[in-house]
Amino acid sequence: MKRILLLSVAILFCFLIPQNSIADHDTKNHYWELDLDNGFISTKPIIIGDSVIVRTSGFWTGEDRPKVYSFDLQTGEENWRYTNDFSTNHDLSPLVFVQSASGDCGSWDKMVIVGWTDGRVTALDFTTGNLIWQSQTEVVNYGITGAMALDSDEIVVPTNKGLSRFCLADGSETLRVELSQTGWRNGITVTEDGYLIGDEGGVLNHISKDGIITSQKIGEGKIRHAPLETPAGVLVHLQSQGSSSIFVDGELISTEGPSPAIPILVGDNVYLGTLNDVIKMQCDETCSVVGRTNYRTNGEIVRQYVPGQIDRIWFSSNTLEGGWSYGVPGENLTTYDTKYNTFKTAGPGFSDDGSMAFGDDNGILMVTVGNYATNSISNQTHDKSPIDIDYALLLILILILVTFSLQLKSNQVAVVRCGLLTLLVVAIVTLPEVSTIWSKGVSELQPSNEDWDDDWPNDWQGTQVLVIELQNRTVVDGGYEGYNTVEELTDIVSSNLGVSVEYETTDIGVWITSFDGIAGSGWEFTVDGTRSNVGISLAELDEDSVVRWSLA
Amino acid sequence: MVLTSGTHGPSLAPFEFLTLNIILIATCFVLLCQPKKSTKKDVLILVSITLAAAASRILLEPFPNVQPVTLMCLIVGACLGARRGMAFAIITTLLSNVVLSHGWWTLFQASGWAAVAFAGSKLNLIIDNKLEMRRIVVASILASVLFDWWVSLSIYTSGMSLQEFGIYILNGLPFDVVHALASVVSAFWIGPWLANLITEDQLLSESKHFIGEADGISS
Repeated sequence: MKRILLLSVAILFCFLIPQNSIADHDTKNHYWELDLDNGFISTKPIIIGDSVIVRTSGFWTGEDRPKVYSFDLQTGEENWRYTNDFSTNHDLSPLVFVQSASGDCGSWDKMVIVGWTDGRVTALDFTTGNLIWQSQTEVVNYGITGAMALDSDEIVVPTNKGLSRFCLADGSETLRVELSQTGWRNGITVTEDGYLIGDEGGVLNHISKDGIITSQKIGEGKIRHAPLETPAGVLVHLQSQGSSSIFVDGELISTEGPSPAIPILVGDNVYLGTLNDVIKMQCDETCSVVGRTNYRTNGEIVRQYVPGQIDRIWFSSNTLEGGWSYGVPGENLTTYDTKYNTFKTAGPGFSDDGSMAFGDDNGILMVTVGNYATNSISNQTHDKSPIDIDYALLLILILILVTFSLQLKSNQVAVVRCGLLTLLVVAIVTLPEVSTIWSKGVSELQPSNEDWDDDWPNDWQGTQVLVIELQNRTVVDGGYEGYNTVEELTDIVSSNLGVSVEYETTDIGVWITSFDGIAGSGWEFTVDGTRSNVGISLAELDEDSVVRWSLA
Repeated sequence: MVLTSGTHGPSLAPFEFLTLNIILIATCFVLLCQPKKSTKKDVLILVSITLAAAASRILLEPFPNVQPVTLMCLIVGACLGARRGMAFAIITTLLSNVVLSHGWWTLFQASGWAAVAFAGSKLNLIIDNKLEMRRIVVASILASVLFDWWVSLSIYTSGMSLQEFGIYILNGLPFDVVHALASVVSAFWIGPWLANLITEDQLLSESKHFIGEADGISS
């Protein structure tokens, strides 16, 4: 009787395993995944021929440093890796693939051009990963973080405080322009007569190919994307505290939610996103919002070309549940999440034949290999990324079968042993989710304390405030709205204050290891004066929360 | 889940580390010196089990709070007595923490497992050279949970309020359950085997010693 009870409990536990720990197995698709284990993947992987190229931003813990990897598309085997031991911050500049060709300054083979936060531009051999050339640009806290752009036989690079242009053949500098403000994630757009680049002062700079600058103040805020040259004019999505604004040729078109994503232009349509919505604008003679869907995103937006179908526009989900969604704003988006649900920043990368590569904030690279028919994304009604055998589930099933077979042989001791082992495996598999739910419940038991300094501006009352107690000074900023977690608020405030942050991601969540390079014995945070029981990704904020970081 | 560094309490300066190491090693020395000389066989058994226990901690580190060392402390304490059991607990902690990371918490882990070994020596877990399964199961559950709470005290020293500490303990209950369950699984899988291994070797050793003495007298 006892044995039957034990077995029943074991089986019951198996059914209670949260569903997202069980991946669907789709034998039609060919799928592989890798835990790169040394940093965020914040920019989309690129698929070129039989190679997947991806970069990680690094955590700067132990020997780990930011890397660029090349993997075999079919097998996931590593072709090469390039490590930058001198990178100083999160590397966010998208990779640029260059086909072999020749120009005025020489010829070159296939290569991958990488911009780094130590200010270097490196050209890596596509096949071997060997360094072909490198050039140094200036560093003021950080170096290159924006999207570079190809201009004929040259590459144009948004540097920390300006713009540089290099010959693709040998990396020699052909243009250098200094700007008055620094930039962050401020990509370059190449136009017929020059370049467009924004900065942290809300200034849009038109730079001729000879280096003559024409600046236009758009508004109070930051331009953190490559400006878009639409038929109606140059569009920028200006980021300001707690909101954002869309301007076309300096004229305000719409006020939107906070923390905008990186917009893209597809024909006459512009796709944008914020922490509130994803937005479609049509820009012919004028620009106007034609579609809007409630969705929380602030990373890369990517277009996928699918033969015979309407283009899919992909958005990364900036939520704990994470995942990606595609569709057209104004309509319901189709969710494409994975078993590694967490915050996503990088857009997916696509090949011409329909293979897809996804990278997430935990450094997991997931690749589906196949054509559009077998990927059959729209038919994945379960919204799960294809194909992976969940080994834990397999182990549990095997243990249950072994237990039953032992039961049939009336081997009582072995039945108890196997039954208990099954329970233990189930407990270990479910522990992350169980402990998260448990911690959230426990955190509600804690009384909320007041954490307010009378010296702070009255405007900050009722808004979100973040304090970082550095060793010799305390930095604080407030007036923020709409940030859901400590991680989100810390990201935006530290970025606005120019405080560098280093993260470490583990299986149980994200840690902050240092502010401004100060690691000490670790950093702790409180929300409204109370220590949190959960990590920064899970610690939720109210509209008037005060987050305080201090050294442990 | 507390995701900031430094949650194990204060970090130690090199001198403090040295002091901690000296205290723990000296305690082992004192424990192993008394009450009688050990045979080479005894020493070999203790060393082998200690190495196995340290290795198990390191190998099972990816599995949260799965720690067969708790069960091993109970059994070693029951088979070899309080002194050797406590020494086993301290050396195992020190050895494994060389790999798993050493700090202020080592003191709490070592003392916690030493207390478990001491309890093992007093609970009559082995009667007539057989492991009492009911007792070992109950003891391993209690020992696992109490050990976790004791080790949690290592963060209490870093300026927490009593209420915050209570919340911290409450927060860790799912991990305590896994520890207890893992100890029960260990009890069923390796408990009887480990107890037999130690007691049989001991009996053999005592028996050989008795024959030697008899031979001496007769000669």
